[in-house]
Amino acid sequence: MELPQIMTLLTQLEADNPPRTQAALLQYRGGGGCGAWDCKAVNGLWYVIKCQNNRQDRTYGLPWKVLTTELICGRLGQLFVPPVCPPVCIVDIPDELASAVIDPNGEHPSAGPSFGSQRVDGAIETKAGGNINLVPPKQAARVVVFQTWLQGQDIAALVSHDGSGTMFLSIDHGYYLTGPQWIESLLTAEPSVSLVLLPQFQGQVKLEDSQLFQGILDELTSLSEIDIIKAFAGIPQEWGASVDFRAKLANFVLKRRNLVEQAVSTLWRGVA
Amino acid sequence: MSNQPLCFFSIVRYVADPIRDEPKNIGALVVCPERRFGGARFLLSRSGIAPSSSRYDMLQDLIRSYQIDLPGYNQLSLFAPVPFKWTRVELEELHRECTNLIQFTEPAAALAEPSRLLDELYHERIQTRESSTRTNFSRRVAARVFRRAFHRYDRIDWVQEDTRVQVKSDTYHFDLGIGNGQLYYVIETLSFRNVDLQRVEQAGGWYAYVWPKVAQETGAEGLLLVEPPKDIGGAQDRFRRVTDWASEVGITVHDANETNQVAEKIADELLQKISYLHQ
Repeated sequence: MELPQIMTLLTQLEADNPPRTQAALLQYRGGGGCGAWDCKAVNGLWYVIKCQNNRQDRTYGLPWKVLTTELICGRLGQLFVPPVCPPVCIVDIPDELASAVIDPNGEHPSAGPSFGSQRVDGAIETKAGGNINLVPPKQAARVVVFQTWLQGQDIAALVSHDGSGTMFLSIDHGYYLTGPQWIESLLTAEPSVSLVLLPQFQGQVKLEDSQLFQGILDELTSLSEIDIIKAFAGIPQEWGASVDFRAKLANFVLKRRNLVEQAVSTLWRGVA
Repeated sequence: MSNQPLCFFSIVRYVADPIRDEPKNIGALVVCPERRFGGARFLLSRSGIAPSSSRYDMLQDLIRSYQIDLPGYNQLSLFAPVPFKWTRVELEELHRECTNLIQFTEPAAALAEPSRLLDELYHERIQTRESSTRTNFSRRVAARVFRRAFHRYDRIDWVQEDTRVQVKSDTYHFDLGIGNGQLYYVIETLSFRNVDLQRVEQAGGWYAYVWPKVAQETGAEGLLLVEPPKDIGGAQDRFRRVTDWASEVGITVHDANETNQVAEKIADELLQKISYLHQ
C-alpha cells in the first residue's frame, strides 16, 4: 500500500474509537528515564502508565514521541499469536486523581490520556537482572524479530521471575522507530534494517539457526497491512501526532517488514 | 469526574535491615478526608518474625507509637482505627520521617470506596503477595462441590474421588467419577495457577490421550474443570494447548468457577433421568 492510500485509510479509521479505560488508582513507580506510574484502572486491571508530562517526552515537545511509539508498537505486538508484548491501552487520568499525587520531584502527572502497558505479575525486567538463560530459543527469536522490525532502541524485555523462561515479552518501546525523538528524514528515506539484539543474547549460539526464525518471519510477513495500519489510528489528539505524520510512520513500518529477514540472517551467517 | 471519593493510601513496610533495604509489606493505611474515613489493616506475620519474639513485640510497639491502636496481641490479622482527620499530609509525614525498621510508602491516590480500597490493598499487597500464583482449586474442592449437589438428592455416594476405570488390561485413574455402578461422567481438574505448569500440561495431555479409549469403553461423558492462569505469557499458551487437546477428543471444558453450576446441572439431569427410568 502506498502513502496516499495509507493516509486515506487512516483518516477513515479515525472515526473508530480505540479501547480506552480510566485510572482509578495512581502510585508513583519510578525507575527508568520516564518516571512511570502504577495504575489500577476502572476495568480492574493494573497498568504501568506513562503520562503526557513524562520526563522523556518533555525534552523534545509535541508530538509526544514516547507515548505515541509505545502505543503503536504495543498494538503491533498484539498482532502476533501469542502476542510478543503485554496488552496496551489508552488510560485516561481524571483531573482529581492527577492533582492528588506527586512524584519525588513534587510534580503532578498530567491529567488526560496516558499510555498504559498491562502489568505482568511474576516477571522481572531483563534490565533489572531477569535471567534469560532458560528462555526457549523460539520465544527469543520472536522478540528479536519484533524488536528488529520496529528498530528497537534502549531495548528491554520481561522474563519469568522464577528463571524458568516460560514468559518472555518485549517492553518499553518508547525509543523504537526513530530513537528518543522523531527524525522525519528517516521516515522518508530508503529503509535500512539492522539486527536488534538484547545484550544478553549477544554471541548466543542457540540463536544461530535459521529454522528458529522461520515461523515468526512467516508470521510477520503474513500480518495484514490493514491490521498494521490500524495500530496507527486513534492516537489521542492531545499527543499531537497528525494523521499525515502517522501515515508516514505506518509507511515506514510497512516497508521495513520485508527487510527483517535479511537483518536477522546475520545471526546464522556469522556476521553479527 | 468520577463519583468515587478521593482516597490516599500508604503501604506499611517492615525493613529488617535498612542498609540492605529489603522491605516486606505488613500493612496498609487508607484515609479518605471527604468521607471522614481512616483505616488500617496489618498482617504482622508477613514480617517473618516469630510472634513470641521480642522483635515482634517491638514491631507492635513501633506501630502503636504511630498512633495506631492495635486491638489484641499476637493476632495474625489486625484491624486498627486510624484517626479519620488524617489527610495525605499525615501520610507524607510518615513517609518522610519513618526511615528505619517501619517505613511508609509515598502516599498514592485512588478514586474508590475507602473500606473497599483498604480490603483490596490488603489482599493484593499484603496478604497474597507470596501466594499470588497459588491456587485453591483442586480435586478435593471439586469433589466437595459435587457431593453437595448430589447430597440434595441423597445420592452422595454417586460422587467418587480417584475413580478407576478399567480398559482391557489397563487401569486409569481420574479425579472424579459420577455414577451408580454405571459411570456417567469422568472429571479431571487442572489449575494453571500451580507452580509446576509442566506437570499440569502433561496431566492435561494425558487426559486427552486416554479419553477416546475410556469413552468408548464406558460411554461416559468427559469433563475438564480448569482454572485458567492469571499471568500473561507461557502459562496462557499451555492453557490454550490443553483446552484445545481436550476439546478435540470430545471432552467438555469448563472454567473452575463454573464448578457449582456444572455440578448442580449434572445432579439434576442424572437424577431426573434415573427417576424417569424407574417410573
